[in-house]
Formats: sequence, C-alpha cells, structure tokens
Amino acid sequence: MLVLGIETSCDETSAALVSGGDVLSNIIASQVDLHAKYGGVVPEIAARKHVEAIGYVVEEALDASSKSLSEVEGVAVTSKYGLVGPLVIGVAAAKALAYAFQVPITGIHHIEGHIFAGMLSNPQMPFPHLCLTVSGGHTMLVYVKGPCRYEVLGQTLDDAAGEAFDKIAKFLGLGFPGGPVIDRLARQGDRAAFDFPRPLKGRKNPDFSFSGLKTSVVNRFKGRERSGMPLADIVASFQEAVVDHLVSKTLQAASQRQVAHISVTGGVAINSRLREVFTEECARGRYRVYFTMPSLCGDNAAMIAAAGAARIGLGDVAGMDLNVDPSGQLESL
Amino acid sequence: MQRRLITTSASETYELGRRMGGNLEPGDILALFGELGSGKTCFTQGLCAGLGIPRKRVISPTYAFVHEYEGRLPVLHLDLYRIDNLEDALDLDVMEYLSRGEGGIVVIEWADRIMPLLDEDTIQVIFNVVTSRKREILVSGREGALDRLVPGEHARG
Repeated sequence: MLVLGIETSCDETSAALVSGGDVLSNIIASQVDLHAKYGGVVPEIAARKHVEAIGYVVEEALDASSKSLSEVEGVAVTSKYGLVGPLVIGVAAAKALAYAFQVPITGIHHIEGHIFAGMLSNPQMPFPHLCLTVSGGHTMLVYVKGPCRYEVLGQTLDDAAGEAFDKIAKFLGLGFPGGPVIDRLARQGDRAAFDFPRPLKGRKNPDFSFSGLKTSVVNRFKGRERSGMPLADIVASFQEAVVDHLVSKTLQAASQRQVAHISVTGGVAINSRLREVFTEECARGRYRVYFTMPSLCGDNAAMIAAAGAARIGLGDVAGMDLNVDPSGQLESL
Repeated sequence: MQRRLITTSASETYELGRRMGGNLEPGDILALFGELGSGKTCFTQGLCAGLGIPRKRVISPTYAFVHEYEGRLPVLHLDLYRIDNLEDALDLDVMEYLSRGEGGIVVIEWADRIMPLLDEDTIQVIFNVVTSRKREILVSGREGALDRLVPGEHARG
C-alpha cells in the first residue's frame, strides 16, 4: 500500500511516501532548500510557518518518488503528542488530501512513529522486542508485543536525554544542537575524568531521570572561566553517565521481561557512544540490538507513514472528524 | 510584595510546590525564573501534585514548549528555554496560551523571555541557587495571592 505520511508535531514539517516497507521519499523541510525550489520557508514552531511549508513539502515528497497524489492509497498523520498549532496544520492537510482522493486516513502518536522507524530500518526485527526511543522531547522504554501493541515500561521523570545534551552544550558554550557537538568533542576526552551521578540506580522501575545529572554538571562548573575548563573531559564524562543510564535501564528491563531483541531509536540513537556501548553490552548479555538508520532517527514523516500502513492494514481508520490530542498517550490496537 | 523561602533539597522544593498547588485558583499565572538546574521543573511537579496530577505526568516541556495536564484544575505548563525573544514567543501563540489559562493554571518556565507580556496579577517565583542543594525562592505578587499561596511564610516588604 502506498501511504503518504505527514508529520508536523513540533519544529519540522515533513512528508513522505512509503510503500511495502520501502521509503520512496522522506522530505524534511529544514533539510532541503525549499526556498530555492519553491520560494517556501524553513518552518519553525509557529503554526503559520507549517502552513507555508506543508504544500511544498508534500509536493516535493511526490516529486522525489515520482508518484502522483492519485496513486496514494492511504494517508497517515501525526495527530497525537506535540504542539497543538502545528499538529492542527498537519491533520488539516491530511484530511483534505484523504477526502479529495477518497482514501483512508489514520492518526498516529508521534512516539509510535519513532518505534516504527526502528522496524522500518530493521525489517527482520521480530516481535516481541523492547524499544528504547530517546530524543530531545521524550525518553521512553516500550515493550512492543506485536504490530501496534505496546506496553510502556518506563519513561523520563523529568528531562529528556536529548534535552540534557542540548542544555549542557549550551551551558558550556558549545552551541546548539548539543548532541552532535558533544558526541564529537567527547572522543577527545577522558570518560572517567569526572564521576557524575548515575540516576535512579538500584530502582526496579526502568524509568529515567536526567535533571539531577544536568544540575550536577552545572553546579560543578558554574562560574568557571570557559578557557580553563577541561571541556572534552567534562562532555565525555557527562555523555558516559547518560549512555550508562540509558543502556543499564534498558538491559535491566530486557532481563526482567526476558526479551532478546532491543531496538534503539529517536534522535539520540544517532549518538556514537550510545551505539558502541549498546553493541558491547548486548553482545555480552546475548541480546540482539537493532539501531534505527540515521536518516530516520530525527522527526520525519516516513516513520509516520510506516505506522499508518500498519494501522490502516489492521483496520484502524479515522473519520473526517479526526482531531489532534497534544498530550495523548501511546495506545495499542 | 515578596516572600522569601529557603529549601534545602529538591524534595523540599517539590513539597513547597505541592503546598502552593493545593491553594491555586482558576486564572492563576505563575512565572518562574532561575538558571539551569535551579528547581523550576521540580517545583512545577510539586505544584501539579497539589492539584492532583501524578508526578509522572509532569516532565520538562523544553522541547514541546507546552504540556497540558488535567487535575483539580487544568494546567498549561509552558517552557520558553528554546525561545530567544519576544517575537518568537508570539509566533508560538503564547498570548493565546495566557488567555486560555483563564479557567485553569498557567505555569511558565524561563518566563524572562516574555517579561513585557506579564501583568501585575502574575505570581513571580525566582529560584536562586545558594549551594548545590540549597535554594532561595522569592515569591512575589499581589498580597492576597501571597496570603493564599504562601500563608505563614516570612514576609518581606
């Protein structure tokens, strides 16, 4: 089934075409020069920026895959979890297209999209599996029993992991976004230089917390001259604490649930140290780990289209009254 | 009017929030100020707990900008950390969020970004880091609101 996916839950305007597990196109407005081609604008958080971009982005997704709208067999749109204004724009566009071409439409939870990015990247990954999805906006551990069947085992109690990366990078004057710059700089640093706290250690619940870790870094180096700080050592030690926390909680849950397959997805899944430690620890514990391909780690519409294909296939079709739910929970079918 | 409080741990900051949350009334807007790690989100978790919202529901909205919760009163939890200036805040429809809060509570982290939009009815809460665990928390606003939210705490002109 050829599915058009639309994602506008926060700062990205994205449209994609996915067919039978193949990504035919996956256009993210901030990553392409729409301005050069269409005179469009790079979207931001403002709903009106999404309005300006959405038409061009859908057009580009069709263009890049050499498909026409009349060939689209279903429309999937992020309708849950995100900012109300931008979500409304995506849902309105999706409804208009589904109505005009008389094809089924389904609403997707943003985090379900990230879970599907893992499956789209690794089609051989079996059920059940454990999915760690971790980005700037969320950090969640989900037991994926089957297609669209979930049990949320744990999530962050305060900040998201990606948010902690960004805030520490900004605090240290390294710029934004913080993930890539910390990843790069940390390779030159000593991971054991500073003993930052490992949050929620000893707790049985696989929940996450990054606020205390962030505060501990800030308290330790506040007021110090940046030139005198061992920046590489600080970020290497900080990153090690984040990675250790993510990996140990995930493996703890994998052991409790006796699942052998672990999916790591979301924007932070790009981090090279996270991939390295997961690979080492999973080899040691006889788990199989699957990473989402980098192009599907950040927010994108291909993952929404993939989730939509599964939901429409299982009969989960919405009506023209599909509405947005900014704080909606991840729901199973 | 301003009142000065001291907390000596994150759990005390949470407890202070919880006590204040129990006395919130529809239309209250709280603007929070303080550097990274000073306790704003922790305080908000307490505030929401005082309104009957489970702690686990309340997490940092830095990325999403806004989280919405349903408790004894509805809560809009804004976080303007990623906003650089007033213009960006207006792009985010922050005025609409402020007016939507009439029947409920609005809590704004990193409220310094929108100082010109705040009126004298806003309850301002400033978090100063004293030591790694100790915080000085300054609550200011109209006298009636302070009497309701921080009764019996030290008064300071």
